[in-house]
Amino acid sequence: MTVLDDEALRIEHLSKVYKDFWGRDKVRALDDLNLTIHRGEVFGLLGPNGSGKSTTIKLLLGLIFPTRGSATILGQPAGSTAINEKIGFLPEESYLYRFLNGEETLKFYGRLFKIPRRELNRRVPELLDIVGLDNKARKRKLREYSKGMARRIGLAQALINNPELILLDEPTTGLDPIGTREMKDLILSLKQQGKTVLLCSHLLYDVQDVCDRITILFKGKMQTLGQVRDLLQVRDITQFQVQGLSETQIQEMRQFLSKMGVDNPTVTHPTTTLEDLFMRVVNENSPGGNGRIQAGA
Amino acid sequence: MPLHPILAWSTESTVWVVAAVIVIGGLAVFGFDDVRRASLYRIWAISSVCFAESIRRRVLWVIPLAVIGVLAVSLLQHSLDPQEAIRQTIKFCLFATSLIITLTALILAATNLPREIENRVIFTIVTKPTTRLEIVLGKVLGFVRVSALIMVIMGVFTFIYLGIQNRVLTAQITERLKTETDPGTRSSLQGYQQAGLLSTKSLASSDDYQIYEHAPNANGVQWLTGGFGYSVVVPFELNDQDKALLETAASDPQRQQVLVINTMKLKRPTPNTEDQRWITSRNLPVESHALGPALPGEDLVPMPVPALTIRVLDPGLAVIEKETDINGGKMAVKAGTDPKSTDPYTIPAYLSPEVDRKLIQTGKFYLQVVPESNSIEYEITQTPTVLLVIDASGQSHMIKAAGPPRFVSMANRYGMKIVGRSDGTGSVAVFRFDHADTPSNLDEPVVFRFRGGIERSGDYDASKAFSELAINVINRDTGEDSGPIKFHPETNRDTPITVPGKFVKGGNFDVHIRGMDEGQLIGMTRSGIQLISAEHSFAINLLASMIILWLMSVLVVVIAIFCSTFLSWPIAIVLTLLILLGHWGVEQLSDTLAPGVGRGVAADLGMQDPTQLTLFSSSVDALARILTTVAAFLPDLSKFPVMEDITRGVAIRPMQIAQSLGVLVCYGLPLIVISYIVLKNKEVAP
Repeated sequence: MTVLDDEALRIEHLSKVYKDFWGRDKVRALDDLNLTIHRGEVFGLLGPNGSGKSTTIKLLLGLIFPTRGSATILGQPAGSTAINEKIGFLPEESYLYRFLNGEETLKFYGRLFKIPRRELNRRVPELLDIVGLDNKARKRKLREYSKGMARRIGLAQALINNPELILLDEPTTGLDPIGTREMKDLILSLKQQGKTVLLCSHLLYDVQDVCDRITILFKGKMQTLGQVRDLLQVRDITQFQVQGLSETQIQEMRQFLSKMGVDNPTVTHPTTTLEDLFMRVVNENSPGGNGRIQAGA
Repeated sequence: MPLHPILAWSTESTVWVVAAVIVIGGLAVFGFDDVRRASLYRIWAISSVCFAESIRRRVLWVIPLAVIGVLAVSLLQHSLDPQEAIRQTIKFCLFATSLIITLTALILAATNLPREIENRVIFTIVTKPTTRLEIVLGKVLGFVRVSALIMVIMGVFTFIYLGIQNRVLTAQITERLKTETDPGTRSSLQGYQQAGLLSTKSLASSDDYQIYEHAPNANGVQWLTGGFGYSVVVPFELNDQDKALLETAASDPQRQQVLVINTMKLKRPTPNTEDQRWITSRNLPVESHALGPALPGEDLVPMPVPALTIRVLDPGLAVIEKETDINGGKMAVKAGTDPKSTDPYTIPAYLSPEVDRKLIQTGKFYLQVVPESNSIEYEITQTPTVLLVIDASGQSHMIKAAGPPRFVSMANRYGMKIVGRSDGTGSVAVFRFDHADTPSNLDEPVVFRFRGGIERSGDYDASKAFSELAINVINRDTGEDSGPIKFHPETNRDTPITVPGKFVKGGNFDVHIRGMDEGQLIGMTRSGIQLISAEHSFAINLLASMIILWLMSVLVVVIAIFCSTFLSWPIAIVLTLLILLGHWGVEQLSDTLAPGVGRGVAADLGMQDPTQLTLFSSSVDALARILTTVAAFLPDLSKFPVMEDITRGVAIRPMQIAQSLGVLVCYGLPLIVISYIVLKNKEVAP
């Protein structure tokens, strides 16, 4: 595999300036972005609102055109119709036909990929299962969907073509903690299948849990780029985690560290995350106890 | 006023060339790959979503509304004539269908794309392997499917409803015939009963139509009496040399002149009392002294001066230069001549440089020569009028007419009129049929259909309950004349006239129509008399009409989608309407937009300053020219004859469907390509 073969996405000097009616520069939404994402990687595009995340995604998908620079996806120019065969895209909000039901929606998008009818009949229920939409929800019009259900059907349409690269714009927006966890699990499972995921979010915990690498954009410029664990590591603090120590043993440990010259070491009990607590409570109280709640039920 | 034929032809040809360049060039330059990639499967998928959206947004609810409207209007109508009643119902049904189909197509198509961009559904479409060409085609197809569905439902309703009304009205005709005594009405009702109210026919129309004051004779010479509205139109076609002559004269009006020379013999009897009254009331010129000897005990009667009015008409016989712009606004006269002379006289009229230039610009025109003076008879030969250009050296150059004159008469609201005489010597309408389609079996009698408007003057015998006309059919191949066949028409109703088949054999025949009542004025157009050449099924005709309507809705969809690719939906709707109605609208305004309109407007506004007046009038003229030119390039909706023929019981010819299809292809394909190019280069993310 060459270096290029390993690249799922390459962005070079990508810039976008929005113009006003008279053609004058109005907003510089993205400024000279250079980035490479490798195949099989889950990559996070972070930044506050208006930092250029969505602009980057739109440029990659050909929804808008760059002022300068270029991007290639899986070796082909971004925005070309041909490359869309291999891409799945979940937009920031589920912009779907509200008068179609879940099944019809997926079949419609499937037909845009020229997936044969028989294959669609097999794949659609499978995808609806994966994203957790039950039988009732499948037959309901999308205008009757909750925000969480709309995200799920949006995700399903992004996966209808079994894409190699998946672009997820704020995938957990509108999802409850269970949905958020499922979304993250799904992203990890996609990674295990060898898919490349570009995730764009401002919900930092979500990104931290699933991304291999991230970049942070601010005012249209890339501020930092690297492995999540490297970027988050606090290098001058060392942490031990030990299970089942008695109070006496803790005191002895303090005395030992004092002899070693360590002043006032912090000794605490670790806390779990709210998400873990929520999942445990729901898990213990839901029928069957698997914690999975079908959307639309 | 229709477009000048040359402009119409050239714009039509230009439109086709431009259309071909846009389609081939546009796709070759911008869309070669996308054409290659285009998939019917994807296009159908996109169209299915548009179709489903329309149906689920309850678009079909307009159908019951239209049906209720048709039922209400047709049940409330009070037409005494059953044929008229059923034709009105056909009209209501087709009007309602046209209205809902075009409005639905317009609103759905114009709003779809802007809404999808606004609510960003388009994101999930363009990020799939869908080309913008497929999106445009899919949307067009989707809304065209909606139109087709509405058309099928309304078509079935129309057919069933008309079937029911046909039965009811036919039963009423049978009842009325038991008691009806008026021959005209009986004749009409019997005609309806025999033919059926929904009968559909192919009609052969005449190729030429002229009105003669007296029956035409072999030598082609006619005598026209002044002041009765009879006139001739003389055709001219200028070649380059003629135009150069006129241009020289127009550029040097001080030393050169252009004259209309009318050469004719005159019969000048002493005016009777009626003529004298007219001469006085019309303020016609009279000789400065009374001519001729007075009878013993009588005063000398003032003799009118031979006078002619000259106008310039376009090839469609619409006036392009009024009499007020010719000969200094005065009639052309020949004063001081001997009333007893049998020599031909020349009666000249002077043309101004402005009129000369109009003639050069038009190239092909008619000069209308109207004998004005009551009591005088004017001889009209085969060459009554020429143009004469007198150059600076005094030499004259003649521009001859392009053909013999055509005889016309003043028109009322039903068309050019003839005047009836009880002895059959009134004026004659002559319809010339060349190679006309005739019924296959000419051993049986053939049926002509007459339609005209009858007015009665003070001389009419008020005790007569019905009007009487006579028709002669003269076979030009065999020379056989049917002799006068009398019939009793009613105004604006079709009257069948049965004639032995041998008189139309070969398709080359003349039809003469005369009024047989004193004081009767009968107005008719070229289609006033038509030969029924074949019978057809009404269902097929309805289908043809619906197909034309559907083709029009496809054009509406394409234009609306084109506009919506670069405009917000309200503006897209307005622009679509402008494009659709522009040609028709300017045609309606064409008299107002005729050259020279600027002068008229300036005069109405009371402008005095010559500089201001020139600037204003030339600006208005330029605007009128721009409007006319732009309109010439817009689609002509009259090429979609949805209602005209079917409501007259005339079979819609396949050629008419082909003509509608031609307009659709000519405008539809380039607009689809432009829509695609615009959308391809458009940032769909707001």
